[in-house]
Amino acid sequence: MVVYSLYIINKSGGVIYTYFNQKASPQTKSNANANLSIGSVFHSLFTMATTISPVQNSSGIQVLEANNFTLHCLLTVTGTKFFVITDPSHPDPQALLQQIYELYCDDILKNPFYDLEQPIYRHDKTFVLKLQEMIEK
Amino acid sequence: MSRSQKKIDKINFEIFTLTYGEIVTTLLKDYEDVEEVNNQLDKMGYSMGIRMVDEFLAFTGLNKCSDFRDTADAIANKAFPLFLGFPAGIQNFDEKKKEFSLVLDQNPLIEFVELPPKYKGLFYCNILCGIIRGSLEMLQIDVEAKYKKCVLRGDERSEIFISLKQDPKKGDK
Repeated sequence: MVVYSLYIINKSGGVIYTYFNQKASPQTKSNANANLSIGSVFHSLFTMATTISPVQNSSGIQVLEANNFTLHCLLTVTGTKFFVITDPSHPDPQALLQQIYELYCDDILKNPFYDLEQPIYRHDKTFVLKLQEMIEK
Repeated sequence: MSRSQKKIDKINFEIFTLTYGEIVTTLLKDYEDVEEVNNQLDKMGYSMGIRMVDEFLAFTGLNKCSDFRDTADAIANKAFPLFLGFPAGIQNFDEKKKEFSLVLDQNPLIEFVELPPKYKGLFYCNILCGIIRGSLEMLQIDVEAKYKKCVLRGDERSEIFISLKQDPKKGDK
C-alpha cells in the first residue's frame, strides 16, 4: 500500500507540486531542482510516447513498471498530469490519482487567490494535510 | 468513496441569487455603461469557467466527447444540472456550421429580477456565456457564446447561442 511520491505537472510541462512520503523512504531527500527536472523530463517522455505511437490518439504513458516500484500517470482532459510512484503491491493507484485530482479541484482550483498553472505552495495547508492523509494511510 | 456518490452541498437559494444580483448592480454603478457591464460579466465568467471545468470533469468522470453534438449534450444535460440545478434545452443544432442554441427555461438567477427600461441592453446572465467559453477553451474547443434572447428583455425564452470557431485538431472534450 506504500506510496512513495506524487508529482503534479501543468499543461506546459512545469512541475507545480511534488510530495515525498518521508515515512516510506526516509533516505530520499527532496531536492527542489531535481524534482523540477524529473517532472519535466517525464512530461517530455510522455509527449514523445504519444508522438511515436503508431496509432493515432494515443493516451501516452499510463503505467511504468520496475521491479521495486510502479509509476501511474493520470492525464486530465485539461492537460494537467498527476503521477504517483508506488510500491508494486499497491492495489489501485488509478483510484488514488482520481482522488487526488478531485482534491486538487476542491482545494486548489476553487481558491480564488490561486493563479492557474502556478506552483502550489506548502502553505496551502488544507490541500497538503488532506493529501498526506490520503497518501500515508 | 467516489465523488459522484457524494451529495452535492446546497446553499440557500436567496443568498445565491442576491449575491449575483448585487454583483451585477455594483458593476452597473461602477461602469455606468450597459455594454461594458456585459463585457465584464463575460470576463468574470471566463475566469470562473477555466476553473470550473476540472471540477466538472472530476465529478462526472467524463472522457473526451466524440463530436460537437456530444459536447452540446454534456453542457446542457450534465454541466447545467450540476452547477445550476436545471438542465438546458438544445435547439437549432447545426451539424455543418457547428452551432446550436441553449434554451434556459428555469434559470434561478433571474427569479426576482425585473429589468428597468434604462438597462434594456443588459444581458443579466451574461456570466454564463463567459463560463461556457472559458471551460470549453480549457478543452481546446474555441467557441463563441452570446445571449441571443433573454426573458428579462421581453423575449419568450432565454437563449444562448454557441458556435464553434475552428475545428479542433484532436478530439473534443
